[in-house]
Amino acid sequence: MLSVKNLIKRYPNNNFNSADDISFEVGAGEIFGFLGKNGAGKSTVIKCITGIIPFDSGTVTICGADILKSPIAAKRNMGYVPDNHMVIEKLTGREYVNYVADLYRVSLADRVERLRYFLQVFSLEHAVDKQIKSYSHGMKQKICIIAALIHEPKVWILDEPMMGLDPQSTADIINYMQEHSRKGNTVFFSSHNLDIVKQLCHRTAIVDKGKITEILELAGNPTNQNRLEEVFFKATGGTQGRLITPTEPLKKSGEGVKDE
Amino acid sequence: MNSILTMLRLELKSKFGLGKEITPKSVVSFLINLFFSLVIYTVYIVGVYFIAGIMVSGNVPLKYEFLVIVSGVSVVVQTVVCTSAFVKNLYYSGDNELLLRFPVDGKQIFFAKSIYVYIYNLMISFVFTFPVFVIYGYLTNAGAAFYVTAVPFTIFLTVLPFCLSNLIALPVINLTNLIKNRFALILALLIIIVVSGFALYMLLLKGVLEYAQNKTQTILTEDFLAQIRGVASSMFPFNLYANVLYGNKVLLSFLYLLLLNAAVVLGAFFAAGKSVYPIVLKSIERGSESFELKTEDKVRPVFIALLRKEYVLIFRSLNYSFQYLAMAITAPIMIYFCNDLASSIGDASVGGRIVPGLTLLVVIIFITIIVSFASTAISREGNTFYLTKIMPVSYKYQVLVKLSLYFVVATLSVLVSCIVVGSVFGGEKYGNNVGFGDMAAIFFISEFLIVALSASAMISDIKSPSFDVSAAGDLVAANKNVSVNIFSGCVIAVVYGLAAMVFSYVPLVINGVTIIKNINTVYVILLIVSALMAAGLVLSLFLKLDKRYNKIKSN
Repeated sequence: MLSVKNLIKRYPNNNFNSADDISFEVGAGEIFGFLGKNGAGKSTVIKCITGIIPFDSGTVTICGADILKSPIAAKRNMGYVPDNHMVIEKLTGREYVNYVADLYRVSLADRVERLRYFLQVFSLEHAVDKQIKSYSHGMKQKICIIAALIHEPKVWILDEPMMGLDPQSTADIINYMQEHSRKGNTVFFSSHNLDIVKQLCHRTAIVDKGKITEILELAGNPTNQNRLEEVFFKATGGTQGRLITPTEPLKKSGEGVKDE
Repeated sequence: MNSILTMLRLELKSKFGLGKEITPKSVVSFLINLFFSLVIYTVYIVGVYFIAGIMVSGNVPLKYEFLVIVSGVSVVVQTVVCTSAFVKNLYYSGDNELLLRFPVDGKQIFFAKSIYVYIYNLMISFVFTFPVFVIYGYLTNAGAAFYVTAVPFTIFLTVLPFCLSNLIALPVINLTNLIKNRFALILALLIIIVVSGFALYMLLLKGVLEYAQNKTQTILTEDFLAQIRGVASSMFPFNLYANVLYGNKVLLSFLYLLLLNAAVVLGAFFAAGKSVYPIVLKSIERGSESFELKTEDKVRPVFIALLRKEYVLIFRSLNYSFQYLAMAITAPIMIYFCNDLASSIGDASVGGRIVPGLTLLVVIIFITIIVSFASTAISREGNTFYLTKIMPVSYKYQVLVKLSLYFVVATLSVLVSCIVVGSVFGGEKYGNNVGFGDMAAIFFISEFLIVALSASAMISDIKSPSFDVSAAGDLVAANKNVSVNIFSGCVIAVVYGLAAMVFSYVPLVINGVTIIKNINTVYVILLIVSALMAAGLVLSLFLKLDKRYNKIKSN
């Protein structure tokens, strides 16, 4: 479904590759996590995959369509949710989703049914006819997600989708990511949240300095799930002082003091 | 006090770009802007000198009246400028929310921003009002004392409008908040303001030019002069300002002005000082206030969906509505006034045959203004530029849709303009100087130029877009492409207009062979040149589009 081979991207005026020989494949029905610290190159790779920025060499294919040679076919099978949740704020939620649906040539029956369903899933019925400008961070993220899903993309790409969301919204999105993959679609997302990745993803890749350092099987593999933090910190600069241990309970006042 | 000064420094730094990195590109951009600004400023100074000459050293001197008018115009203009500056910088400024997080109170923000507005106003006043007094002094052979007095007088003249605008900004901001999302009403108001302002300006200019052309057939008749004198002497408080500078009841007038200024200063201090904080808070709250619009889910073809989105984004923005829609809608009226003025002067001096050439010049200038909006076609995507990259629609198709919008809007505007000009100036009253053939030729030349100028504007924007948008999603400032494209359009207008005007009278003969016989030959040549230009620029736009578009870097 999604194939990235030997992707290299160097920004002008940089003397290093922001994406350095990145290769991986994500199959149908798979949820794939993309981990890495800030500036590791996650967003660069995602922007190359989605066609937002050009790359120096390598290939990206979405459902068999090369993003450079057949960009329209590739983009037709892709849905993208950016990390900055930027949407056209002068439109209402419904206008925006309809605009995107028109671009993907979604039939009226399909868009009405899907929109009704998504509005319910993401609890956005009350706001869909309001101008997006008035939406909260989470609401903008949700309308962005609905617009990205309105054409039922085979490959759904999300850049740090849970950032700044409340637990309810995070749960709604996680549930739908699982549902989308159960339908045989691919979900590819970047994240900083190791707990969510270990529970949600079939596999995950760890990126550091533009290179993939590890690809781990997670689903059905408790060993890898348990050692994800350790592997992540080792791959991205060492575990020293970074593995979190549970905080001990506060000592009650008077504890340890002898009664007189 | 320190907080106020720190905030003022920040304001000045952000507004005047102090501390920005100097690059060869920024130097060139600065020099281009400086050149255009100097051209406009020269036109202003020459215009003022011309009008002052008529009033101050004409047959019937109107020195005192001139000073009343200058004081009045200066106070009114400063009030408008200051009110706009207050609304923008104090109430609608995006940094209020940020500033309120720091240990500063509403009054400190008010004072810091007010001082900035005052400095801004003072600069405007010294650039535009002070030279008028210098010109007056020169024309009246005033002594050194006049020039020395003019400096503190110019400063004094800024106090009243500054404080008045502080008060006026309060209802203005409330009214603006009230009609904020009524886009059709805003557009209608903008059209009324543009048309009435332009009509008034053109009527005044026509009067002045007619006077200059024929002093015996003057608009300054005895009755009119008496009226001017009567009105000037009773124009409170502007007559008091004129008294001070003219040397008439100086002390008494100055005392009255001091009292008036003191009253307004106190009013502004108490009213604005007290209400500014709640209004700023309300403005922050209302910044995200929006409208609700129930629409049906509807399927549209891709072309229409893109076109509609482009239009809606312009319509729902005060800035873009003004820059584009209001200009396009009012262009026929403005073209009528310009043509009326130019034709009456041209007709009187060289004959009616000049009218078609003048019409062509005026129409192309307005096309240039309307189409210059295309210079921000890509930049206006702002933060959502990435959408144009991920949608399954080719870049060529997206650009074609934008080009189509500019073409349709400008075509409608030119069509109405041609009908208006043809029916008014083609009539017997104007000696049938513009025929159907002329208007058809002007229309088709304009059509090719609309395509050529739009394509050229879009090429420049694709090459160097600027995605610097405000909180409202509008571009913070028009990029340099706009001025470059307006300049190119004006050059074309002058060349085309002059060619049509000159060859209406004098045929072009080389070695005994007549190359250009009359204006019809000019039309044919201009049609061919324009068509070639349009074809070349459209090809240039689309042939390298994918490569150029891919290079665009957004946030």
